[in-house]
Amino acid sequence: MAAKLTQIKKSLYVDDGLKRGPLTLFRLRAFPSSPFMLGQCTDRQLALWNLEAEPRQVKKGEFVVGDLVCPHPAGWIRGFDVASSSDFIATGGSDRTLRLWKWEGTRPSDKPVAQVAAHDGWVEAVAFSPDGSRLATVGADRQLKLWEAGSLKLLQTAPAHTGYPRDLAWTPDGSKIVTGGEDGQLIVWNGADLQPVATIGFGEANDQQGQNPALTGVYRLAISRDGQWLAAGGAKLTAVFELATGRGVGMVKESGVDVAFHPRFDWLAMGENQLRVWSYEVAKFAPKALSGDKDKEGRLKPLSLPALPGQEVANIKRNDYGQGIAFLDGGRQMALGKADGVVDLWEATEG
Amino acid sequence: MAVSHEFSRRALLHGAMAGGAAFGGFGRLFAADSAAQASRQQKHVILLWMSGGPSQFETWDPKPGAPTGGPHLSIPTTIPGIHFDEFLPQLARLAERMVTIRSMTTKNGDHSAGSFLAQTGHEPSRVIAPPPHWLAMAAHELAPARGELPAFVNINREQDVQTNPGAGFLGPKYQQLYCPGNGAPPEDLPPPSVADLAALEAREALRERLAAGFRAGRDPRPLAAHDAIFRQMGSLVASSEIFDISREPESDQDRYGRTRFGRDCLLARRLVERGVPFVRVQHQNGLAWDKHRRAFDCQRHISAEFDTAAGALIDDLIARGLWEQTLVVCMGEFGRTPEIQGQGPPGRNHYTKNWALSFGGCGMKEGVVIGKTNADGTEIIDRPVTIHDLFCTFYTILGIDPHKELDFEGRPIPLVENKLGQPLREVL
Repeated sequence: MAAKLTQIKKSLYVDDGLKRGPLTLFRLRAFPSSPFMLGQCTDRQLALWNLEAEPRQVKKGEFVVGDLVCPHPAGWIRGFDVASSSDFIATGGSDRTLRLWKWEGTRPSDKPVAQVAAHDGWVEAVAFSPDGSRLATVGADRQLKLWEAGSLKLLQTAPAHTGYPRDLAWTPDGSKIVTGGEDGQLIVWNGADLQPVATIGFGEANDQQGQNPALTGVYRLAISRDGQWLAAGGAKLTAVFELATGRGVGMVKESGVDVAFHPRFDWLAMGENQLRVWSYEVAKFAPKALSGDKDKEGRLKPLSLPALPGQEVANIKRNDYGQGIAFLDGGRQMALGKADGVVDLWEATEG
Repeated sequence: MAVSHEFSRRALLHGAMAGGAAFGGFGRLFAADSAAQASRQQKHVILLWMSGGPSQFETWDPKPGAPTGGPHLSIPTTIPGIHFDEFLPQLARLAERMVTIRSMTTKNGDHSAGSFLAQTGHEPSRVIAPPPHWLAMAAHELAPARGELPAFVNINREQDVQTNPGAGFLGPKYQQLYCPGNGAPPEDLPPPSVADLAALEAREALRERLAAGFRAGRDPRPLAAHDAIFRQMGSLVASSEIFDISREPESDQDRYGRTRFGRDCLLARRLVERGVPFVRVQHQNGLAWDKHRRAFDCQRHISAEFDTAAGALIDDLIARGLWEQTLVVCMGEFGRTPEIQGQGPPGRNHYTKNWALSFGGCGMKEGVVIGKTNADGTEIIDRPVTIHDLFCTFYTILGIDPHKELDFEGRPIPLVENKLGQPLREVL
């Protein structure tokens, strides 16, 4: 399929004017049915943009300037999600709390409608179930927790990873949850009772020694729109697995950290400084069992998988360790977060 | 011949075990009673060097909730109203035994120059004679109770001569003995077998004979320093068990953490217990605390590793009766910016205007917190402390006049640069 991405001459920006450094972006989520987008940044609040707003001139240039919403009292927000109905936003922070905010048409409520002390440690990732009835969280206490979304009543708890968990996602049918962590493991869970279903060895774990240690293990993960394929991003590569079997499909080297599947095309976006969009060819997938071999220190040996079948659609230099990928408007646009508080927008078109 | 050889080995072994003549009498040097006695009689320093510049925000002066605070929260310490970073629970528990300074201020934001200043008390370019590491200076001023042991041991890899200064103008006698880290003994140190000791003695005798001709007409002082090192080598071979942390209980190794730094702190305790007066432990290799990038996530790991080992070390020094004679210092060369910069998913750059450190033991007042910064951590608002004040305090605690002058080639060299600074009266 011939396709292309073209940058839109309109960018978003967030800054609180406090001169304490840029609000580096980490995650982006678009509202399913309204022109708004939220961003998790280096702050105790989320950035909110109205994508239909006109850009205005600020010191850095001409941007659609965002507001800061959903305040936690301290720390930073580490994970958040928007319910598929767009009615609620859930945020989890390094302050250990999980907070639920009601969407009031153009912005969230000023105060949370519910909040709980969710984990004994930073709340690392938050995700609504596809039907919006439940919330899953992982925290630095290595636990996976399941909550009733409307009340934040705790439903289930399961010990998850041996290192800090970093991300989680639901399958589109809501039957399973996948978590990934610094221990290099991907764990597939039954979404109803949090029983572990399978463990997939991604590897790439390190002991975080030295001045600039690479990210360890799984940093971000994503599940394809049909629920068949699981992508995991580590420091230096992205790997794709068959979710039902845990077998490896392929990997893209030198392009990891951030991953997202396109909601309509067979596209996988991945990468940090250099964002690559890969058009994958399912017909050529030949899943194979992972060796699971470990080194003398007990860590999984590096994955040995073929290159992910397909071809590169785009290779975008976003520089300075930007993070956050979101597909908007049914996949017609892609938003890319950057370290300087800017979000660039790209138009995706099929050929 | 065989009998003679056997006799010689027996005699050597006897010397080793009973305090005989070989290498200055190293026999029962490390018997627990004499070691403990010697240790209790002398002053020690263990410097836990946090190379790279630890962030004051993520250690001893957190500002949770402030725009500059970052994602880390804080936890209460045993000093009412004082909080430390959430990943330092052991140091928070031990705060009442320590001194915490939140108002260190220096001017050199370069790693090499800053490290040099923070370990010598001198700017690198301001003296003609290369100043020694302050622990080498302490070794010079305070003769070890047991002269056969190294006075100054460094554990783990140094970055370069400036980030870990040596003996400087004091010469090789005060140079640190290098242990490579991860709890390992000095490299190439053989086990204390009879054969190894005999071989060493033979080599030493040969070296003495060959050196005799070289000495004629030369300045004896540097040669004497080298001779002392060779003699010390003999003692080290005989006493290599002092470096053997595998002799420590498994439970101790667990308490210190099964990490490189945990093993190194355990080794430091073992050395001090057995009479080594001055030990520098470098936490991780290189500039590990220099967190410009991905600071806040990996800071969780480095802080926890440091906290576990340092906490166990302080606990043990207290429990073993060594705390009143041992100064433990936790510090790096400077602090980090209040601004959270985007040099990679975020981090903090170098900051000298205000930074923090902690030390304790050696009979100083405990539970003292000196200095205060403003709400965002951008300014000192009470009691600035200079690096010269810090060195004046350290030397004073050790019983050394900080403004004493040493003579180097006819030049007076003060222990602390230009006789600057004053001891912190709050801790004395």
